[in-house]
Amino acid sequence: MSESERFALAARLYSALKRSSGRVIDVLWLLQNEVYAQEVIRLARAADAECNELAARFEAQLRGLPAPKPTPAAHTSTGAFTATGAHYVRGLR
Amino acid sequence: MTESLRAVLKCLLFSAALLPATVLAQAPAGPMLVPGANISAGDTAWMLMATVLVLLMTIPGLALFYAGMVRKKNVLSTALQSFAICGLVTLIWVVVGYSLAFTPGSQFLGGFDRLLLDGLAYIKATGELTVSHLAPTIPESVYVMFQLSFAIITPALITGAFAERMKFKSMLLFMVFWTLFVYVPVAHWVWEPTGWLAKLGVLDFAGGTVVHINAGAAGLVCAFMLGARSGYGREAFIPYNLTFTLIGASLLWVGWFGFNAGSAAAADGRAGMAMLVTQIGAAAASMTWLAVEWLRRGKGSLLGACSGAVAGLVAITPASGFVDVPGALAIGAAAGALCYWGATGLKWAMGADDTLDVFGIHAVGGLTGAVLTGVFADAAIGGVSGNALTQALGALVVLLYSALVSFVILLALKFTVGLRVSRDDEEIGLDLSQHGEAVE
Repeated sequence: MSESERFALAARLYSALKRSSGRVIDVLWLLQNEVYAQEVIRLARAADAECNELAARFEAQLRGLPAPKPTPAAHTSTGAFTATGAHYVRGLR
Repeated sequence: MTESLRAVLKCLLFSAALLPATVLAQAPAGPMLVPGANISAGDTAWMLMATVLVLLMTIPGLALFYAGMVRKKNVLSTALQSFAICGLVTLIWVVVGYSLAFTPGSQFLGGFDRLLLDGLAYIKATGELTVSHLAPTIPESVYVMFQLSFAIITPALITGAFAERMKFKSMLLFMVFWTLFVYVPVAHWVWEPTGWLAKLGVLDFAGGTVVHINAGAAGLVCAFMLGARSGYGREAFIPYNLTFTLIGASLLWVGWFGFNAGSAAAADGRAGMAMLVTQIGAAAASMTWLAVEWLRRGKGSLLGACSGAVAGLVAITPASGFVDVPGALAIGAAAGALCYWGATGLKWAMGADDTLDVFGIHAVGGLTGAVLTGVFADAAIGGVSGNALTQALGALVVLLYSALVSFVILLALKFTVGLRVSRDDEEIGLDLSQHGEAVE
């Protein structure tokens, strides 16, 4: 994974965590410090499905493993569409 | 520009011409040098204003309209596409586009009289200047700019169909070839009096066929050729900021007065009628779309109101210099309902990931307006009556031509530079992967 890809993933994690739990993380420190990164991953695992998925991908790149396949973001754990996402699955209108 | 450079360009263009040599034959009528007294100050002032309004439709209007509807990681790339096309098409237009579209030539293509705008003149000492035979009361320079603003927005509309997945360099190359081989000839066929569709009696006051059906057909082919975005139909693609879309749609609505009323090429009663029916068509379509949405989903949305307005503006475009108030109401209402279907039921039935519904709104709206112009055209306003069959024929020819040539261009690009970004680049977003920038 290139540096720009790592940055993009970290930035997405930042946005998702802030949106779901109001927590603000330090993106640059996340990229530099593994201990901090592990703590952020632990927090993200406890948040919503999107954070969980991003955390899994970030953790995989930390360990040098292939990234897990993304799951559809609009699905909840039960497989139902979320209220805001369902409208945009097949198009905008 | 030197004569030698012009000669070289002419040689290159002649040798690359795909049409028979007969198309290069010159017809007598064309741009001409006239005394300054022939120019109407009122017409010129209005056309200067109309040109600015139409240019505002693309930058920032369409750029914002589209950018608000894509995901956050693709906002900048989507807006940049419209902006870049503005520069790119300007260069094509002054080098060869205007000449091939708006000088007489043959019934299929114009001539090279205005290559590099050669011959376009304003002579301060004598007060003489050139005018186009299509707009004899305004300077040709203003007419070139007015038509340029149309040539810019047409390819920019297509970008909505392949948003979030096309390589930037492929997009630029596609737009060069599409402008030259699709927009320019179609504009000549319909708007130049020697064009073969104009001779058939096809009515297109401001570009329902030349701009919207043309762009919509190309958009659909782009959507099929590029394939669906990763996750399409399974994931929710949340729009970044629909406030941008509202601002863009508002700029489009206001700018459309330049588009339609400006197409009268004069500050006169017909321009006034075009402005009036433009407002009515947009309003009727916006309210119809909202009503249909409300009935089907139990809610009316901001995006629905904006989409309906654009649908109405598209549909009234070919009719704007020909129809009266009842005609505008009918065209607007029909466009609101049909384009809603185009962007939902028809889109799902076709299965193409036309990202921002370019076909569903521009082609469906354009077809609606083109055919209904034949039904509602009032000879008292435009001097001619319409024929729905002729209108349908013109629309169908342009739709098929645009689709076919777009397919050929895309196929050539696919096997040379490639069309689509890699899966990883798509996942990261085009802002970062194509341009190294991001919205924070």
